Amino acid sequence: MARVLNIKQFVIFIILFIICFLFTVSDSLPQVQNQKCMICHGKPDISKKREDGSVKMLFVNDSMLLHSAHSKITCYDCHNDIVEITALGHKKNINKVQCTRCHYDNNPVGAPETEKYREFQESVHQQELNNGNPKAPVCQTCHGSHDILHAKTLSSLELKKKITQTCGQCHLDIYTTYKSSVHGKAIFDKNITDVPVCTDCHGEHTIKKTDDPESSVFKTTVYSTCGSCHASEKIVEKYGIKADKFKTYESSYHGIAVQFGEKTAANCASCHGIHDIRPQNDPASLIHPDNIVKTCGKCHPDANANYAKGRIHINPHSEESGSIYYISSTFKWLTIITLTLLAIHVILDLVRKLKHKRAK
Amino acid sequence: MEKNSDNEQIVRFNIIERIQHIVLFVTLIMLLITGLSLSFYDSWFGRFMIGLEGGLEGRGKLHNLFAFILIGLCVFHSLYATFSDKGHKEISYIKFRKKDFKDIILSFRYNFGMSKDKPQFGRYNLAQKFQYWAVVLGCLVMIVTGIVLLFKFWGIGMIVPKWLWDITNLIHSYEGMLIFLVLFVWHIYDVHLSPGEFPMNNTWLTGKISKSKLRDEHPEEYEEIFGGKA
Repeated sequence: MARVLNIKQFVIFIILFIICFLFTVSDSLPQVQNQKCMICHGKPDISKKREDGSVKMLFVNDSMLLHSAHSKITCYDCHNDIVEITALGHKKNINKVQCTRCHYDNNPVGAPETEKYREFQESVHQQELNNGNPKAPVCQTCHGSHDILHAKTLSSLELKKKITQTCGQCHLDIYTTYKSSVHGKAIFDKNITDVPVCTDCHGEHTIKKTDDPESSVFKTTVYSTCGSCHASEKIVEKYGIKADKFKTYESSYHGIAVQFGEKTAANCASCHGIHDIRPQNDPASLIHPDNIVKTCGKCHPDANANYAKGRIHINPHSEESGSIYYISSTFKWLTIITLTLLAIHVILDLVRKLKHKRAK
Repeated sequence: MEKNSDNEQIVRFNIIERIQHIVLFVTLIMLLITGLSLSFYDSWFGRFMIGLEGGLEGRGKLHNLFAFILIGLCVFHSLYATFSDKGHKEISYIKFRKKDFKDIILSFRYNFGMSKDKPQFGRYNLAQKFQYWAVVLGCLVMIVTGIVLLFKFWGIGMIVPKWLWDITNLIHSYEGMLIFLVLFVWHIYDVHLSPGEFPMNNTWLTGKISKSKLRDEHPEEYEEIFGGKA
């Protein structure tokens, strides 16, 4: 035989080859691979009944998946315990997706490498998971699952608002309090992005229990967390808040005590509130003139009207402090003048005594 | 013979007065250290000292302890100055008199070399008088303001409105600083560093002064004791 294949066989071979090639290429596109799953999970009413009677929706929005950060990976990449799919579906009791399957250092699939899941190990949420709290959040609780997005795809305003809502899923009462606070109103009503949302004070993956000394809102360190904005003229003076409030607190008795680790001394939140911080002119504010004595009374039970009669956060170097400024300047000059006269006296006395000694 | 009598020591201060002086400077130094460590809490000095003093609370207690010793001393000193013969006499010597104002001008002229006449001081010279009254005034201010500051910790803070408490607080810290600088520059120069005194004038321990020094620095007193011209 001179020819191995005749023309007919050759054409069939080429056609088969092209078909196979197309299948291979197209099969590697996630949308095509996911097609099989979407036969069932693309139906909006697909759901399952849990053992406790609750219903879990199993619908996956294909287009949401396509726009998510994971648009380039397939269902199997995360749901790797599903190996066999029959006409009846797949095995029950699918495991929860473990994000750390890809998200670890030097992973071969090119998933972003970050410290964050290691930070999370130390967090209060991981602690709760370890304690078996069924409500404790995992990655998906905050980041979403099929709708997961890169943080950078959102504007900072959208992102900040979304963060409060994300935390609010579980911490609903705090979310409502926060929303009516000066910070909450600024972001929700005035679209000001300088204000802190949950993560700005509490941290993200590092979040600790408030009574953990390492927490960013621990009694003796929370002042520096507030100070990260309130000590910055650039940030707060735009909104008519003096940046010296931070320094004046630091040099006050409360501030000094806190810096020496005194947990009972007042920090920012003791007087201003935590999630319920309101501007001074708000009658519900803890530092409204009508409420301030009560606020002092939280720690100083004998506080009466005299206790709060006067300025707080006094800066002796600012003319606005009135008598304090003038007394402090007077003393400064008194000290300078006295010491100058004294220095003159000592020098004259010294010169005279040395001369006298030499004459002897 | 002449030389011998020059080195003769004359007792100026009795033991009660010397002990008062020792208690005074020990309490003042301790009050200054414990007070200034709070003023400079933010520096290495403050942090180190507050650590030594047993933390912030220990510092406060130590400061209060010495404050009460100082108050006790002041009470004793007032009684001593009023009711004992010796004390009463000392006060009459240390009081400012008309001649002192002339002496101020004279000592300036003398120090500048404009006059050859040396001011003729009595038992206390001008510097000593100023220093004594500065300490009296300073202690008075510090004790009054200090007690007002303590009101808050005794639970009777409501007597004083916050603004007055703040002013009191300010005066207490600035006055403390002023006393520290004046006393430590002036008095240390006078009794330790000044030529003829270095390294230390021993009168605070022995209560004695040499006859020649008395004649030199306190000619009026010399005349009173020995009569006749120096």
